[in-house]
Amino acid sequence: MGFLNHWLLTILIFLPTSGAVLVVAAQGRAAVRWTALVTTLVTFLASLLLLVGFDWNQGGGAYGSTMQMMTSVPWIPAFHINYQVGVDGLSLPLVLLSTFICLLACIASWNIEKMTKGYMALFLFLETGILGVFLSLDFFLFYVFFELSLLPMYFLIGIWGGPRKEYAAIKFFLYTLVGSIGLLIVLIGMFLFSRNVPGLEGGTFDLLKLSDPAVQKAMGGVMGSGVIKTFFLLAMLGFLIKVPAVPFHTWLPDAHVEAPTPISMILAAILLKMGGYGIFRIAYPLFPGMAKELWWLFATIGVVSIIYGALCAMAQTDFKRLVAYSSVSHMGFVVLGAAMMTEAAVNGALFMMVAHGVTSAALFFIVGVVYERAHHREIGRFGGLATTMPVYTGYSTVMFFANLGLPGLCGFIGEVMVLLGSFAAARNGSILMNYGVGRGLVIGFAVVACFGVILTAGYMLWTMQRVFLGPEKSEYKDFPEVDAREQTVLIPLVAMAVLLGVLPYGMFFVFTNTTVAGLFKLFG
Amino acid sequence: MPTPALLLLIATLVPLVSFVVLVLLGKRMGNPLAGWVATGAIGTSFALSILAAISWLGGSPEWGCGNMPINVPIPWVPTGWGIGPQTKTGYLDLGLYVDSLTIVMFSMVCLVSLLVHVFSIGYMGEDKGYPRFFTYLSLFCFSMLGLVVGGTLMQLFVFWELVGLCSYLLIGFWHEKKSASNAAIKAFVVNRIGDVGFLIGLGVLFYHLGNVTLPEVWAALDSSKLIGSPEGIRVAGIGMFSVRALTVMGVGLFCGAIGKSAQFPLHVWLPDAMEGPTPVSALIHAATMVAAGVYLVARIFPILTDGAKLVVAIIGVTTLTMAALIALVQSDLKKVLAYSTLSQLGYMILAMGIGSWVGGMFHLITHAFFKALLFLGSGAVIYAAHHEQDMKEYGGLWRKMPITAIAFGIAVLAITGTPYFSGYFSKDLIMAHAGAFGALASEEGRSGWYWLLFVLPVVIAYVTAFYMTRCWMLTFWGKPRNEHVFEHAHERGIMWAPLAVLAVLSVVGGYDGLLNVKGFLNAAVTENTKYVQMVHPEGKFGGYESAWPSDEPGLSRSGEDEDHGATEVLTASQAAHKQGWHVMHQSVRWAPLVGIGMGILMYMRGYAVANVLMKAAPVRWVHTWLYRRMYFDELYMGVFVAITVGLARLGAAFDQYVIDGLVNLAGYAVRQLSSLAGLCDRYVVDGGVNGVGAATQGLGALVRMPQTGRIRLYVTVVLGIVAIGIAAVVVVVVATVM
Repeated sequence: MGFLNHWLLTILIFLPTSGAVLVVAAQGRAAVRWTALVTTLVTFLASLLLLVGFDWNQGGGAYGSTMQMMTSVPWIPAFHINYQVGVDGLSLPLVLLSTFICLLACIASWNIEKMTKGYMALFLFLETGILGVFLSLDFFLFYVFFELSLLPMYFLIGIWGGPRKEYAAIKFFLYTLVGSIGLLIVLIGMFLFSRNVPGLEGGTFDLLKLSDPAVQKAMGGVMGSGVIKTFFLLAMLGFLIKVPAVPFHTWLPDAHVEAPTPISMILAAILLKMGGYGIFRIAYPLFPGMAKELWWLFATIGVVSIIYGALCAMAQTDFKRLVAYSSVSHMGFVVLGAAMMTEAAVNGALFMMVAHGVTSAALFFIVGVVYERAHHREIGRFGGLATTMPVYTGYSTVMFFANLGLPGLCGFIGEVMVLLGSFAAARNGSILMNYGVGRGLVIGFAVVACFGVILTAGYMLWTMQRVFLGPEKSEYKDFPEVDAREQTVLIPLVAMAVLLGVLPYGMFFVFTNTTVAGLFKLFG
Repeated sequence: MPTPALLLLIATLVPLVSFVVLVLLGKRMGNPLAGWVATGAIGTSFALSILAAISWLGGSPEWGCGNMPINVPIPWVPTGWGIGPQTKTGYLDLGLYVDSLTIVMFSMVCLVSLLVHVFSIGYMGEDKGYPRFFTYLSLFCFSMLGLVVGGTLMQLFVFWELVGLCSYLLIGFWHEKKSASNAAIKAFVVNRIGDVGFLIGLGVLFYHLGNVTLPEVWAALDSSKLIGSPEGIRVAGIGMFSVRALTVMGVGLFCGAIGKSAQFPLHVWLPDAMEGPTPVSALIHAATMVAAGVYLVARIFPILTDGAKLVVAIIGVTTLTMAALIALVQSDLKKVLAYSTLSQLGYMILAMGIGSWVGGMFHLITHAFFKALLFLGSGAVIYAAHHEQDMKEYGGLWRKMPITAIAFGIAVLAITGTPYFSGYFSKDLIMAHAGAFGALASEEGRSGWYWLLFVLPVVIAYVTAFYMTRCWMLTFWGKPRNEHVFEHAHERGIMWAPLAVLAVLSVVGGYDGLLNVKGFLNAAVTENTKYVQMVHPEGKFGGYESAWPSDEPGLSRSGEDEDHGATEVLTASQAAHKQGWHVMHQSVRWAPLVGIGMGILMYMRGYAVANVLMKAAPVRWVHTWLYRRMYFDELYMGVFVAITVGLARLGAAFDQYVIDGLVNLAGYAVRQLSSLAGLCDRYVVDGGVNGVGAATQGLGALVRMPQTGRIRLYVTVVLGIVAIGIAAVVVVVVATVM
């Protein structure tokens, strides 16, 4: 166990990369595919080992104290950069989600015929980047992985994408690059300022140290509030673009429309979560004071994303674009939950990330299934698929309702907890009330966000009607029902949607609960 | 777990098992096995519910009828904080709550479901979606039973949404029909509008208490605490819950009921919901699910402020009036019944609003029997008439379908409140309490408008008797207006047997000595009061006793007997109570006779008299207005839906032209800038030259580069990253040197 506890995370991060090397070495398309599949499968199984090593009864101590399986090795000693990884309640669910979705996306990639070797290698490379982001505890290391995940994604969209792939790829790249530059400034700035802290001479990139209130106090004296605010906003910009929140969201629909199905799954299910994760791992712990001061900005962005994203989704005619905008709307709940700073809201936001990971991956796959048969995605041209492909419709119905937040399925828990948690921000003694925020304003945000559920129901059901219901169309009559491979992807997703929706505690909150409680100690 | 709770839990889960089995194997089982599996499941549930009732009546020292309820909370999601002895502090619980009301509702739901299942085996026999139909029905049974046993508002909300899902699936059951899927979407979305209110109410409640467990909420926010402290209720350790917040919370939660029970102004979905198969209309859209709204109000009744109750009463009275008027002129048999359901639900909601808790719930139960009977009867007629639903094509069917005609007739008598039928007892109770309410209001010097809450229901009782008679007469009496339909009409045993059972229940459902529904409901009041006082001994609990609109604590409007001794000194509330029974006797007792008589006279000869009346222009105008359902659908489509769709288009256009316009502009600017600076000129300038012609397309030009030399672009990108990396290192080095 000692070995595992020490090295499991590192093994996890670099397993896909070693798989990528094998893929490059493999001869023949089938060998490439199987190598990739085995790699993602082994990575997934290895990530399940985390559950064995994980201390389920972590004490309710300070924020850093719930960190487990930490490994810290000097990497670039000149700048005190360490290879430092660890896992806690914030990252564990996202790590499991990533390995799970990557496995399914790998199965979904089975029909990629174009340059399969390059595709699979990049795919596995991407998985390393993703896992690295979720497990790094060193700011520099985090940044490296953050960028590392960007690059394969760019190529995967740019080479294997649809007709406007170059436009989409560049747009994706530029958008996230802008965010990255902001993050880079923060990264370097924090390092420089941390050198003034007694005991940290020479500076540090250690995220846990940087989120220590004593360190922040010492740094705050040097930085001044203007610099802190700028840094916070730059960091948030980087993460909000990734989330993506309105108005930094337009790269998402284009990227999704052009990306091949499995890449869309990964993009929506995991890459967006890097933004949400960044907010909770970096922006908020490093700048807790600013998070309180600027809560209204992010509450506004969150609520606008929820409503605006839903409205835009309603107006889409392209099935995939619609699902993409639905992601914008749902990720708005994550931003709102963060802004409201109550345990229910933050737990809800974290849950929302995982729940959305499951539903969005499923929905993009569902779009992919029908696209492969019809070779178009015009919602208006579909119809009657419930008669043509009843099994497929059954899976789709479950995931549509999971997405619109039906109780018993995963979407509901996140949504309702963020909403109730937002109301809870108005109670006496909550962080925002103690900070002196107007109660009416908080309730106002919560009430407006509630209206999102009507719009979500509206566009999801309308889509359902246009695609699946109605009389059977002759041009789609011969569509084959979902095959075994497609069911292999859909069944685990449906099962997860149900399990998360019915047993949210055992499936999720058992990990996050104490970490979130620790996080709240930072806000005072 | 105490026996009744365990039995009810199992009874709830059996249909879920049946659902799962039918999802996996339903198609293979086919017709009729799938139907019998579902029927067997709900039959088991019914048997278990009877066992539970017996065990409940037997009681134990800790629980039992008239003694104590059973409360079994189950922690579900963590919230970080909260009050009260939840299973774990800081959790939103699910849980079972069993009192006499649960027992009555549960048995009723199981029984009606069972009968509808049996009926459906016949009715849906020729449908190719037969297994799917029973799959959905099983899911519905599970959801509805889960709602009934729910012990926390969270659980009510969860199952609330699930029954909504089943309603959606079953309304849209014939999914190839556009009108059916439209109706299904309408039902779900309109319900969601109400649910937003529910969510807001939950939110307001949650931020004050951090707990939504029913007994905890009752104990903390018992409305009788407002007597003598009009500004609000102080909750220990939490602070003040202002009366305004309480009212907002109450009205918010009630919004959920407005949606689910299809009250004005969210009533528009229910008539459209008749697109579903008729057994579904009987089960979901008449007897059980739509009554869930009333059930919710009953569950939150102890915490409703006077202001909230007034809103409830006004919504109820508006709905019952409006729906009855529309029902007067509809010609589609199911539409008439749908509007009559709306109207009867309005009576129940009104009852809650004027504080007649027992009256409202009593009517819910009796209504479930006779309305299920009416719908199943109409189903039998529609089945017999080749799925023709227009009463213009009926007439004289009693000769072909005598059992159906009699059963339907009994239901008509029950709904009109004819003495000694079930509706008579429950409706009179509500009316008497409405009368008492009016009397008390004038006693308190409130506006005369309060009397409308009595007068309108009385007038509508006459109207109800009339339109229900019209409905029976046009269907069963007179000459056949469509020979083809008449020739085809026949009865089937599997379909009339459930009718017969329901007919018996429609007669006996109101008697104290037989089912004793009222006794159970009064016991529920006692149990809940005792329980709250036991758990929170410091406070007296008077949630059910509101003497609203009076300020004094007084007599609850439960199912008290009529005769207060003449000699005793009466409190204001008791006196009003007495007067209420008096005015009710004076006014409403004639409704069945007058209404039915008028109906018979007018529709003796089919449409003859009506056609004469229609010659007068004002009658025609009113008729058109009512026939088009007062134009609510047009209004909603034209205003709310249009605005939403417009906003959606606007948002999408904003994204496409403004935001993306800026992004593309930025991309273009960056490209120009970088070429000027000569950064990576070898790569970009080349591309720039290629792209000059298309420069106006901004970024579009940049991205076309790869088509001529993809590798160059990639190298550019990689170099960009390397450049950033170098920049980072340089900054770090400089900083270190500093």
